[in-house]
Amino acid sequence: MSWLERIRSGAPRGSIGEDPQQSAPAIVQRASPGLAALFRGVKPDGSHSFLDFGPASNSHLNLYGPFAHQIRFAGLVPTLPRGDDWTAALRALPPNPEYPYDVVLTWDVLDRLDPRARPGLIQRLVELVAPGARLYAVIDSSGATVRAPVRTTLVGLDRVSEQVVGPPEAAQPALLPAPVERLLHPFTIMHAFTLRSGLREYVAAKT
Amino acid sequence: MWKKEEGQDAPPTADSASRQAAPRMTSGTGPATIGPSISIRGDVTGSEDLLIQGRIDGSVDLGSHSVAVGSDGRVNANISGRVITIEGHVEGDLAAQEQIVLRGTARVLGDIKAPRVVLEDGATFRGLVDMGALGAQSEKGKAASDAAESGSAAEPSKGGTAQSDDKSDTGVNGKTDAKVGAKADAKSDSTTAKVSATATSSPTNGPSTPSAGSTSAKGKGAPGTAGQARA
Repeated sequence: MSWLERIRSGAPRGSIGEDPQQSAPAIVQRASPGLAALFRGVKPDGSHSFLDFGPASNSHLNLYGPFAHQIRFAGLVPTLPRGDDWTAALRALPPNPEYPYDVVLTWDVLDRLDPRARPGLIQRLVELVAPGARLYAVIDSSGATVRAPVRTTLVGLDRVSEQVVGPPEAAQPALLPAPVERLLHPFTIMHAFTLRSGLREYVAAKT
Repeated sequence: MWKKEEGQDAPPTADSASRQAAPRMTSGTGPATIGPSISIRGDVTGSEDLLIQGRIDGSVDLGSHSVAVGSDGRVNANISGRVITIEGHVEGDLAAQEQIVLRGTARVLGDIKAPRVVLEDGATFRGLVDMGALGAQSEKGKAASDAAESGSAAEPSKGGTAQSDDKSDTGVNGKTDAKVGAKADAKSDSTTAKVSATATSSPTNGPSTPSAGSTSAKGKGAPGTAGQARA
């Protein structure tokens, strides 16, 4: 099991393998071809409006800066609201009529969300985004039954760091590519990357 | 800015600009301060820098001057100023002409608008960042930022005489109504100490100092609730 797999499963240090040299570090970096593809398709002219489902951070601000005119940090992950709280949080996401969002980073929200709530998320995004908006999503297809919430931080336009921020929780059934494609409609998948760790990164555009 | 030193009339450097953003409480010098035990409900305006360690509900408009919300500060108000630095809790929109800095202890819920925004590790922010000057007007904004860093930013006015306005009247309910703000510092940058907010004060445990130069707090809302400041 790789460091990344272990950190995503929330395995304690040294619990897998006996070699202390292989203990999982607190923060793991990985390449992100999905993010690279996302940003390749966005002109760095400072005219875009970003919606980031994650928490605010200076690195995100700096990396979005050349692209973005406005950035909304929703702070819905890594501590994902549940049930009615999620519905309320989604409803509370304000539209941005002057600059409709044209880049949306949902991170692993789709993957962790109750399957019944997933269509509502896409429906809400459709209401909020501009035509042609690009969407980035991460799905864990490793088949793990438990997964720890992970805070993902951009460290470059093609690289992220991941840090476990809570105890492992039961994972939702793995989303396979065909259901993802149906779920994302009217967003059309433009790029999909499967990483060695079992993560799949999707970049989709609203048609 | 916050710690005024001898010979500070020299143009600010990038480093000094960075220091200006930090709310540093020093004895006897520095910005007007709303102390930890002060609570203001109303609009706060002024023409000197302000450090908020207390509580404000309403709005804070310091125009071309800096505003800092200290780690004890709790502000439920929109804040505007030249440089805004947050260490405490703010619920409201922030608009700065030059820079907004959210320190590691900051918790901000609201939208922020500034040419430069810094989020330190640990800062909690939820809302919209409008980076207009870094984005659509990127080159223009960057040039302005660079100019500010290299020391061409305008310094707040200095000199003048700090005047205290420590009026107090007895309120109808037996409490003391005091004109807020007025423990002006003799070394303050302010040219005047004109405070127009009505404060309802009660005995405090210590020398809570809403020391203000030309900072004023005007109450708004229903008559009788305007401009209350509780010490």
